[in-house]
Parts: sequence; C-alpha cells; structure tokens
Amino acid sequence: MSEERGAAILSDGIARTLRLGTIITIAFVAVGYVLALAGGEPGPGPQPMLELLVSGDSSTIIGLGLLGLTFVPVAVLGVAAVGFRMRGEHRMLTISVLVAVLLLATLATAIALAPPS
Amino acid sequence: MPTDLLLVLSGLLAGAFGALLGLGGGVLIVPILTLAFGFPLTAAIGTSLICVIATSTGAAAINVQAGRADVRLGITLGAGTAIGALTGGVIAGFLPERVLAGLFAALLVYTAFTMARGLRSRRGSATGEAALDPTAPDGPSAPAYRLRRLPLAIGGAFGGGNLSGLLGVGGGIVTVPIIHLLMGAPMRVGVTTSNFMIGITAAAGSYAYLFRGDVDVRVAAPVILGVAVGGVMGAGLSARLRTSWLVVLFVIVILYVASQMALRAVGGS
Repeated sequence: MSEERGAAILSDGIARTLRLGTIITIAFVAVGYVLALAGGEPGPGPQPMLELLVSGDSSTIIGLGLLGLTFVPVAVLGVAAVGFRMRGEHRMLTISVLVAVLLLATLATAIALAPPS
Repeated sequence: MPTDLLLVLSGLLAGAFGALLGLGGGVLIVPILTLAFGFPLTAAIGTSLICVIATSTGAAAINVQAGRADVRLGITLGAGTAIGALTGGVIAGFLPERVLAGLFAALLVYTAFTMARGLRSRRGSATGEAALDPTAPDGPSAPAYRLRRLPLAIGGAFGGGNLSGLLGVGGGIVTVPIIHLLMGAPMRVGVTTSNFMIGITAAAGSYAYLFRGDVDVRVAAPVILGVAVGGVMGAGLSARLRTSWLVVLFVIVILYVASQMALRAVGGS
C-alpha cells in the first residue's frame, strides 16, 4: 500500500508539483508585471534580489515569482524524497535529499557572495 | 511600452521555437536580449536561466506524468549539473563580456552543427518510443535499458551544468548526449530526462545572477510570460508541423547570430 502510494507520488505527485509550481509563480510574475505597467512605474533596473524583495512595489511581486520559480525544483526533490522513502528506496532518498541540500547551499552561497546593500 | 511588447514577442518566439525544436530557449533568448535589445550579456544570461526553468518545469510535468522521463537518473545526474551550474554562475561574474560572447558564439556553432547532423538521422528508428515506468527500478515494468558509466556521466553532467551557469542555456546540448551516447539510454529518454534535469541545473545557476543583481525583473517578466505562452503554442503546433524545414531555418539563423556574437567578442562592445 505504502509502495503504491510512493509510486503515485513519484509520477503524479512530481508532475503536480511541477505544474502547480509553474502556474503559481508565473501568475505572480504576471500580476506584478501588470501592476507595474498599470502604475506606469519605471523599472528599477538590475537590482540584487535581497534589495528587490524589501522594496515593496510591483517589482517585489515579480521578484517573488522569479525566486519562487527557482524553488520549484527544490519542491520536486522534496516530493521525490517522500516517494522514495515510502518505497523503501533508501539510496534514492539519500540522493534526492543531497541534491536538494546542494541547491539550498547554492542559494546560501549566492546570498553570501551578494554585494552588500 | 513598445519595448515591453517586443520583449513579450521575443519570449513568445523563443518559447515556441524551443518547444518545436526541443530546446530550452536559452540559445535564442541570450542573443535576442544582447544583440537586439543591447542588454549586458550577464543580464541576458541571468534572465535566460530563469526562463529556462519555466520551459523545463512546464514540459517536465507532462513527461514525468506520461512516464517518459527517468526521474531517478535525472535526480542523480542533477547532483553533477547543480554543482557545475553554481560554479559557472560564479565564474561568469568574473569573466570579461567579450570572453563570454566568444564562448557563446562557439556554443551556437556547436548547436547548429549538432542540429544539422540530427536532421540526417531524423528519419531513423523509433527506439525508445515506449513509455517507461519511472517508479519501477526493478521488475517487469522497469526501464528496458541498462545504464552504464554513471561516475563518468556525473562528471560530464558537471560540465553541462557549468555551461548552463556560464552561458544561460539549459545544458541539454551536453546532457542529452551523455544520457544517450555515454550511458546507453534511448534518445527519447535522453531528451525528456535532460529536460527534467534542466530545472535543477538552471535553478542552481540562476541564484548567483539573481543575488548579484544581474537580472532586471522588468525585463525578465515580459520575456518569461512570452516564453510560457510560446512554449504552450509550440507544443501544440509540434504535433501538426513538420519541423525539418524549421531546423534548417534555425541553423541558418543561429549561424548568423554566432557570427554577430563572435564580432562582439572580437570588438568587445
């Protein structure tokens, strides 16, 4: 039973996460962009993400969408890890968690190397 | 406003072409943003990486559900591409723009060569057309192929990731041959699994650009929206269109773009 659920998670669960993640984050980008156009706001130009997230205007919504999109693969790895655990595939569980941690470490490295605001 | 509209249309074109020709779209987005709009190359690369994630996640949802992508293999090789993409993204911040332009020109020539060569073998076999059960590592529904040379493939995946982070492409031009030729999986599995991995790869590469301040969100937003719509349009058209003539057109365009990139590298503008 648990194995069957694990198998469903590895196909339907991953596909649903990918689809939902893409739709939600693209919706954020679309809403932010429409608000920016409607408000006639000039673009802020290239800006580090941390500054963008605290600016509190339409660009913040776009930024959240873009950043959210980069988290979709992390969510997929999390869902895959659950599926592998249910199926008792410990090696794949370890690899999935490892790759997810690697992505988060990449994010931490990028934040650490970001120019000071 | 006209610039916004042109950016949406550029994304639409890149997304549609990418879906029709099985590309992430990065090889089109980067040259369009730099050569047509005059954006700095690093900004174009960062924007392209984000768009590539969107094209990957959209298509991968379909491929994973249909059992066409090898999820286990994608995640395993994703370890290599993620480290490679991070390295590439960080290195790109230190490289002069003309070096990046030269590297991109070389990548475009290689892509054109690969696509032209693929035209000849396109009429070939339907090997690997059968759906896989990606949840079955063993047993009767397991993949009907045996993968080999995994350690070497992970090393190669690092190279693909590095290319992605450095130049803003999906890296499929490297990872598809690794999965198909080096590891022995059918071509279709190579394409769909590589597409699944591209999300992981491009996410890892994009963080450096996003947090360094190389991405202009007001440029990225219209392009990504265009790519999302264009990708759906292209996927719908791909079943009805013969893509051979599109490949020929694409090869001609990409060689022209490569020459412009090479000029940029030489001129350093």
